Amino acid sequence: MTLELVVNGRRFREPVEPHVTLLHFLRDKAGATDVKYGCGEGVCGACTVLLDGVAVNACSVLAVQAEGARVETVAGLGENGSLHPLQQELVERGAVQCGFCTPGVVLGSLEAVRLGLAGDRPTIRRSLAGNLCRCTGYGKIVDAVEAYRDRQGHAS
Amino acid sequence: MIPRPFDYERPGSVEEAVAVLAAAGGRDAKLIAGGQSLVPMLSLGLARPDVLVDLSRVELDGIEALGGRVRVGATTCHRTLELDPEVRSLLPLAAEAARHVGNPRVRNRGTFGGSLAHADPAAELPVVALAHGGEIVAHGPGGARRIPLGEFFLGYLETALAPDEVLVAAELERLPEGSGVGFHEEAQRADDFALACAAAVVKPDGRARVVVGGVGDRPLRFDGAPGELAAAVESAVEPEEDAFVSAAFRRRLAGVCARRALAQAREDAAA
Repeated sequence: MTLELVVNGRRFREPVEPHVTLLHFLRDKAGATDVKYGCGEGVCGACTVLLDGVAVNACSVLAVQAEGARVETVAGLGENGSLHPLQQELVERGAVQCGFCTPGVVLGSLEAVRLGLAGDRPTIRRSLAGNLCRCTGYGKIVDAVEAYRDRQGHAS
Repeated sequence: MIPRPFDYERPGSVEEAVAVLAAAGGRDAKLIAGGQSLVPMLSLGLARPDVLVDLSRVELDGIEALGGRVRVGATTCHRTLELDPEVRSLLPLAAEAARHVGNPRVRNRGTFGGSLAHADPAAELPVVALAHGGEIVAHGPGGARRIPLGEFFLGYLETALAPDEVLVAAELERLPEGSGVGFHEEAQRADDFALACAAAVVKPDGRARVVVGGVGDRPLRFDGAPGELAAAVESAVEPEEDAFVSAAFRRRLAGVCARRALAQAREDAAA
């Protein structure tokens, strides 16, 4: 069948088989290799994307289920080649090492801050459940999310 | 892994979905809503349906108070249960338990009806549904059928739904005014599958109910005096050992979860 969807503002109209996941579609057909293939079973969060504005694991959605949707990946975040403020905080605080989990951490944490689910460190840690990092651990990631949340607070 | 190929249907209504299921004949047709259990199972080769019937174009979400019951539409997502202020007042136990389902991304897509129909014995929401009691509303070729929640969960991943029926809603009994609720779960990692979990309700007449999950082939319900229930749970359950914990540890954990959920429910009732 033919799948129509928008990825980071770009419209795709591609034939797709029903058993292909959104993750494979994005990486193989839409060139969105910033969406990482980690566990493939909804546990690690590396493949997080925003599907119509809502964070989901792209490995756990069939591409055909995203018919007509607007998908945003981490590559769609920055403007004119600059990093998003949360990405900047992650870099500055040493919260990125191999970087494989980072796209999921960024998109998941942006949602947590937007929903007001990043009020304190324990809450931020809970919001990171399902984002597995095997390099830096979570301390510096939590620092970065906290700093970003505070920056947002000052901005608004 | 990439799932094995299957045929795919995206009906626009419950009637169409039922017709697709009925037309499947001997082929294995499976309904998909949020897909948060099913898509990983497809990728792992644990589910190999011939036909997948996608409910994403069928509007079944929403929560509605109906006198003594609350109707939860099948495709209401866990995140709504967790975060919606109306749910917190109508179904505080569901709100409390939904926080423990999967992780935030799973909760954004996973659905209440999907969790009930999947009937994973370690899942939180079947435990909540059984704690409330009420009925499952299913549509099949003969129209609507109501299945009491006490008769719905039959075993591991097994329910009273017929292969050509679609679960459209659960109508949960409202708890009496002044009831307290609690939910406790023990898992190996935050938001991992429950090793054991328990929902507790303490009613104003002093009676209590506990439902435990993860310690049998389906959620198990216990009614009695609040002070006696945790011990009753611990002596009644017969969990099996698995790759993670022994049967004895799991039995103990069931008692611990029941005790802590009951303590929370008593505190909630007093508040």
